[in-house]
Amino acid sequence: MAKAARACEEAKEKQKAKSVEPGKKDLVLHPTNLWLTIHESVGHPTELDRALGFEANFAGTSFVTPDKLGKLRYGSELVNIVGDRTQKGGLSTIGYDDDGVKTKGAEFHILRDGRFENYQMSVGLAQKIGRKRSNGCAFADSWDNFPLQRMPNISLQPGKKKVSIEELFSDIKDGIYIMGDSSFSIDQQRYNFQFTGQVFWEIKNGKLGQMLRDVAYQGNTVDFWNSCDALCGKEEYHLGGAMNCGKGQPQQIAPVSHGAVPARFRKVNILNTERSDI
Amino acid sequence: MIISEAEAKRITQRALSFSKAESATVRLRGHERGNIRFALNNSTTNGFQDGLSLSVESNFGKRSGSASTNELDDRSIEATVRKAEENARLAPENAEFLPPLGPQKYLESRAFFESTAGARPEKLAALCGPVIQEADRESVTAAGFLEAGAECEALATSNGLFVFEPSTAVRFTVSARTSDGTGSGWAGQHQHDIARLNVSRLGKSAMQKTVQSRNPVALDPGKYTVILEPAAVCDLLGLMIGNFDARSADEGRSFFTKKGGGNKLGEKLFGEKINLYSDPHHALAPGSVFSGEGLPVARRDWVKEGVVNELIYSRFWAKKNGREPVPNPTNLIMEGGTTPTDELIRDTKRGVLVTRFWYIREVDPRTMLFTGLTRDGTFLIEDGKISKPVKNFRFNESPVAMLSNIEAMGISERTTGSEVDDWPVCVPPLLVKDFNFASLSDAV
Repeated sequence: MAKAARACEEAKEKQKAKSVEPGKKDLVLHPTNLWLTIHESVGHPTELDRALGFEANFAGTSFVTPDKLGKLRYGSELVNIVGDRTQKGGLSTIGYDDDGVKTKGAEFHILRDGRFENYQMSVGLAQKIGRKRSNGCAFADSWDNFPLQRMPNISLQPGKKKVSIEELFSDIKDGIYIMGDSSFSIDQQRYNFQFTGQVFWEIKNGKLGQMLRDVAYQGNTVDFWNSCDALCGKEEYHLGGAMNCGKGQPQQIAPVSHGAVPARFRKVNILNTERSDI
Repeated sequence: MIISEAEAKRITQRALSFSKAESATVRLRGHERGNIRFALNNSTTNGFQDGLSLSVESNFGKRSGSASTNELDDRSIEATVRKAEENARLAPENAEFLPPLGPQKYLESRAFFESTAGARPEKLAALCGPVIQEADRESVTAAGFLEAGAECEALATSNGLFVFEPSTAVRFTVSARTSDGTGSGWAGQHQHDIARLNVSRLGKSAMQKTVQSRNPVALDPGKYTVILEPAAVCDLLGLMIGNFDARSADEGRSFFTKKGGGNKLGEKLFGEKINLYSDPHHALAPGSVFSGEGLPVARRDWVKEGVVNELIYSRFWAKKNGREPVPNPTNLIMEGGTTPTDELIRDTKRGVLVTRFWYIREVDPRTMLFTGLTRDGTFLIEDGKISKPVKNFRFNESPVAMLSNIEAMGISERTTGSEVDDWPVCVPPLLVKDFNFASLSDAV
């Protein structure tokens, strides 16, 4: 009820919010927004079936080609993103995947200290990149569909120190704090994305200011994750997710969770969605 | 499983006979669909899906509950009805509840073709084989999907409504990429009658675009004259029609909201030549004859000579406003011109040819601003000819602006898009000025 009351207050405040001034700004993304950015810009590009071309006709391929395995500097050194099907409360959590692979012990880093380390794999795909076993990512949404490689729970790990969200704001001269997800779009190889949110606040000289509206952030996946320069600690961890991730032909729907802590990104391209020259 | 109308009536009436609720609605859906998928110039999976399921909605006062089953013996049907009733008693009251509809009059359905219903995976494989061979000949890497089959749907209510409609659909899409990864092409089609689907021609078209699009150059983002091929128009208009909702307009959440209250029904918001309609009896793209709760669907002119002529009114919103309900459309037709796409290109001094769009999302419903990207064949037109392939763009643009900036229309044709891919749609290619490309994408 407290959350509902807060949402009502925010909806009223949004009526009076100031339209954003576009340009490069620092961003603090709450996990209620960041989960979807993780899903689109890390989850989908690191699906091995996509990278190999099996999804080319529908969802597309990926800029994360197998030659980048272990080499690509995907994000800053703070960025650790883990895939697992064992996280408590995770929508993708299960004991055995649809290939029959045991998921406990199959947890894996997709990005370790910012470097691309692992694809998501099912049994039939792992050997195509010389791996002896999959990491338990096979899933079929129904008895009459083939198991595909689908996302495990994919989560941004908290920073090592206890850092509050106010501390993330404190080092920002001109920025925006975004909560909640809304419109989301990314290209078929997962370079260029554009996301919005539910509520936006101005950050001025280290402090949270007035509410803003008409905000979208647009960027390139690798530039964006390399601009991450601060994370909150585990105390701020929040698990988000979706019940309706689509993939494959015939299309299959899968549930998946994405955990994150609030994170700060520097000099991201901010658009004003009300302007005709956006 | 595809069943006869008589069998559908027997099953739905049997379900209603078990009902102890104040009112009930039962819906029976069956399907038989074959498919083949290929990638990397090889078949990857194929399948045949066959199912029949029954869903029941039971109502006590303003409380409703539902349950479904795919076991259609008497005992299972009765258990499903009881479960729906149990759920209804647990449900909160729905302030907008309306009792189920009584008998309605429907148009004759024209959406079923034996040729498609009988297509099995062997036939689908035989159709796809030459496309893969063409890809090998062109030294490109192809991926595609062909699905064909039949569906049937019956709806019956305790107030006496019964409607049954069988339909068929076949959908083929093919993409290809050059071996160096710098070029890609696509073609696709959605039909009711498989005899109208030319898989081989679509395959050749996709391969041709693939080869042509190798090594694209980057143009600066900005406003461009564009020729949008039918697949691109299909997505923008198909998504736009979802915004033709009276309630969201009346409640201030829509482009169709009128300043000061109400909606823009009757206002001229588009150019004189814009005519958008739906019609279950359209010759090229027939639609379903009923929608949602069983409302009959007939021809509706959504935009007539530029004027917003219809908005969707749900039963509840219609009653609240003292109007007749207007159901969701079941197909979408835009009248076109007589100019072939080649001539649209010939008449363009400088512009961008867009094969299709990808990942389109609404950014702001108040302005109907959409974002998305070009994909699989984007070309620069100079002095009436395609001069070179260009890198893909992200666009931020409204279909309303697009319909206001049309300079010429091609011939309306049956097509399919990326986002609107399971609907009967017939739209023309459009020559549009000032289309807003906001940023570049490196994606191929």
